[in-house]
Amino acid sequence: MNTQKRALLLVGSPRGSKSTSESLGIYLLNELQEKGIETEKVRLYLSMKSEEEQKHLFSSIERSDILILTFPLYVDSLPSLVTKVLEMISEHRESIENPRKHQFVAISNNGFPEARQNDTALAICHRFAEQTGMQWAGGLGVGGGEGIGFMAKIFGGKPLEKLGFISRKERKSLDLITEFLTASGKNSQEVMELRTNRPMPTWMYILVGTIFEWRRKAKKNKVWNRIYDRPYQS
Amino acid sequence: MKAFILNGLAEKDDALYKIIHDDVKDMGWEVNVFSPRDKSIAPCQGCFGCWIKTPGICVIDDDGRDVAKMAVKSDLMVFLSAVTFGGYSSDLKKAVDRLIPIVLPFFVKIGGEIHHKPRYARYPHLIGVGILSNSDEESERIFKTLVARNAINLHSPLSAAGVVLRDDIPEKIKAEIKTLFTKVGVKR
Repeated sequence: MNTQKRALLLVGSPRGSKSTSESLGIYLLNELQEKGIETEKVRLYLSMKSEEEQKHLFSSIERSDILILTFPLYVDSLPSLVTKVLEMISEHRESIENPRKHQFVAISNNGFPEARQNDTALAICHRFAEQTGMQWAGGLGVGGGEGIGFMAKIFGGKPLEKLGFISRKERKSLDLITEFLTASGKNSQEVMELRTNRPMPTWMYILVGTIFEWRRKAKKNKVWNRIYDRPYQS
Repeated sequence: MKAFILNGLAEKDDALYKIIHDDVKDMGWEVNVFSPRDKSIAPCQGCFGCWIKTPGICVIDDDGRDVAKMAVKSDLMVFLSAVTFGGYSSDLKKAVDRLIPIVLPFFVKIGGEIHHKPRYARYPHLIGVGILSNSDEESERIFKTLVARNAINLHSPLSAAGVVLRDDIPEKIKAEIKTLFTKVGVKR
């Protein structure tokens, strides 16, 4: 019998490999792999496209001891498709006897500079773990996730560990979660409420976002002069 | 006065939905309803096309576009949902995620936090009604916090949220609805 621990990364971003969510999750997955844990990654937006993929998702979940959910914050909570997956997991667990007691970790990132804006989404994940009989193993809220994505693009989509100063806080938090998941008996309180904000002043974040992201993209699409449109104004 | 009900309830809660819907109508509101479960509505792709390609309109051409349109033409928005791990059902969330076109990509500071700037001059008030099978204080707390957070991000001038139980008698449900409407300044 194979007794090696298994971890499954559930990527809840429609952007897949280009997403900040996946970058954060992959870093944690690699850390766990280095500690001897077998790892697997599933992109939920692909998994929900067919029944066959859904079966694959559920069999991967069944095989895993650790579930890591990583997603972008959509209107203060989880994207609808990710919520749908959680509903399906909950229904599935209710339908079987003695469901596995997975350890459940959630990573939420948002486009605002404040990590605390992820708190409600992480509270939902925590409640999901409690209500489905899993062990809540920690949550990480990342502020300015778009900033990480932006820097990753500049540096050619490099992994989190190669972004250096930009991602140091996230790596430190994810290292703490790794420590908890791999060291039995450690008090989980230490990894329950992790938050990381962007290492730049808010005004700079706003300026960079406005000029380098929105204005640049809208101009490229030739809609800068229409960006304030109110199509549904009565 | 126009009320826009986003009904994220499942079929099993239809009787409850009818009580709430009829109660809002009895208060004299002109009621528009959007039930995601009966519509063709794709999940938001997080592409920001509604900001930088077709400003104010979602790039996905399906029923989801009506959510943003009906929201900005209303005086009050009502979110109806089974309380799902403290949050909304995936059905309601599918519609809520498609509200992003009603704000701008640019930022504004509200209450010491950064949020997106309003696109429109006025926005509807927001009421959230959650349905639970059994009393669950933590889920209720999360649900109410979520509605309050949504009200900030969606620029609702006033908001209120409450939870009713599936077994509650109609009079109790109506009393809760009345309380919520009073909180946003609308009385029977």
